[in-house]
Amino acid sequence: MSFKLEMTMMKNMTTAMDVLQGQGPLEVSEYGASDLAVPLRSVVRDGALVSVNLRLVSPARVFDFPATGKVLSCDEVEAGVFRVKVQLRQFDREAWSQILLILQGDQTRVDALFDSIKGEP
Amino acid sequence: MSTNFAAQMKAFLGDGICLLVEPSSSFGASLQSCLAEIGIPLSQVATSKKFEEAKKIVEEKKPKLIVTEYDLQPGMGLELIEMQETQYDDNARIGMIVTKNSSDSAVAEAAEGAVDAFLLKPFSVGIFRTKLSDVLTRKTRPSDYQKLLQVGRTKAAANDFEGAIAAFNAAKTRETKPSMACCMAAKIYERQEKWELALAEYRQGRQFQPLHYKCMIGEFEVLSKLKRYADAYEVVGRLRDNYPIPPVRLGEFFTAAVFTYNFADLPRYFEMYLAFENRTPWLTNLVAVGLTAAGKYHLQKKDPAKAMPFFEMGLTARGRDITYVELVFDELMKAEAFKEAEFILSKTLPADVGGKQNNQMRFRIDQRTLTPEQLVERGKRMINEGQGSPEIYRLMVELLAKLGRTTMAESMISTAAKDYPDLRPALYAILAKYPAK
Repeated sequence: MSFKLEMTMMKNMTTAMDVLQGQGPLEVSEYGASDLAVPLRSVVRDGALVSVNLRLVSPARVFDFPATGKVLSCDEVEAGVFRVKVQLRQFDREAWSQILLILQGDQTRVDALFDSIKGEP
Repeated sequence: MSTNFAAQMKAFLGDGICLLVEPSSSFGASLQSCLAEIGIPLSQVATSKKFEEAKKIVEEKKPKLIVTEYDLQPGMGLELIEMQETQYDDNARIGMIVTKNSSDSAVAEAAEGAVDAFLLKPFSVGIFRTKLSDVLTRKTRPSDYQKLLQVGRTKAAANDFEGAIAAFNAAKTRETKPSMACCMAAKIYERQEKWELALAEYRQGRQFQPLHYKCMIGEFEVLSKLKRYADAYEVVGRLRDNYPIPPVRLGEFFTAAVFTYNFADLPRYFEMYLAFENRTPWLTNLVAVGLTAAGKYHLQKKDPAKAMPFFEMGLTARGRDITYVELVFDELMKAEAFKEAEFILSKTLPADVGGKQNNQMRFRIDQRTLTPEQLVERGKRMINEGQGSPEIYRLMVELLAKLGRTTMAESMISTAAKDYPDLRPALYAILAKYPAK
């Protein structure tokens, strides 16, 4: 089973512009208890309030997760590509916990298999 | 961030470097920030997006910590970690995979090798830190058992086999289920070609943990080496039922299944083969050879219907390569399975239809339906176009001889002898069977 977490929409709440326009869904590269990072091909101001839609894609289903958040940082990681870190502010905490559980569950499955093949104490 | 972990990491790395191999800038930046949080200074982190460049860095800078993606076309992150394994003692290096590839076979392949941790993307900083910290603790503060295993490994690397065995035997007394110690002792016996002792160690390892993967693999390898294929294949059954099969093992299992006539298992292995993202030419070849052997076996038993699924799977594996189509076609023609041969011929890729090999096969099939005159015309045309083959020449000479066109048959033999000098006696022998009219 393999899961993918994508950001399908990021709207700047001040300008009402969709920051992702023309960039397609962005794969979330890293997540934390209530934050995540995505690679963006445009600049977003630090501190900007954004409305986002996240999508968890599994082979069995697709689960959408809307939230509002704040841009914590926007760092250029290569020419024209920015790593944008977003802190989720208003969101369904229960649904987010479910997403984290699913992602961590996949890691737990891999760990169990990895350890049993390694066969070391 | 625990300062203890940072200090441990600093002590582990010393002046050494960490290599981060990640094709995606975004994932790369996330990983870099994780390393920075742990306290690894930027000056000690080398980064690369490409396999070849990363390989060079491993060769030249010998990183003590490697964090790499699994798929690095044209190479694999595993190869970098295997290179690192040759540069350091196990306790002095860390190799981590961070990847989108969560397939069981990828995990199994990594765990079989020198990889210390396997992390899925997207990752959480917390999990990354915990994983690295766990590995670091295991390496820098090993248990007595692990210390003895390391002593054994070091002695084995110095070819001190007796010393290594003594260390592994001592290790066995420090752990309730010391299967890994048995496995390592078995490896020493393998290097000394003491096969029965190696087998005994693997089996002892499995007494402690009946499904110990590395002991089962070791037992399978030794039994295969001893050509005790039936016993080896019994181990395959246990492995297959309990673990995912990495690509390198699938080839071996395919071979073992063929040697033990367990052809009924091949479709299952073939499904696994199709599910692999990275199918090497080596594996494809092994799979096709195994499937062909199964098909030929059923042809020998005069059962072309049972042979066909194997040949068709072989065709899929080889991408309907014309050489393979011809090989299967030949087998079916030899077995006089003409309908099946025609079916296989119909699987020729459009790009190969009308080509030399396809025309030669078509001629051989059509000899059953065309009139002798039509066949002679077709054969002459093919030979004039340089599409003759020993089989075509044989058929043509026989046909012309049967029709009583001896002069033309002799002329055909002369033409054939230019390309295939050794064929001349066989062709004259055919001609001699039919007295001139």
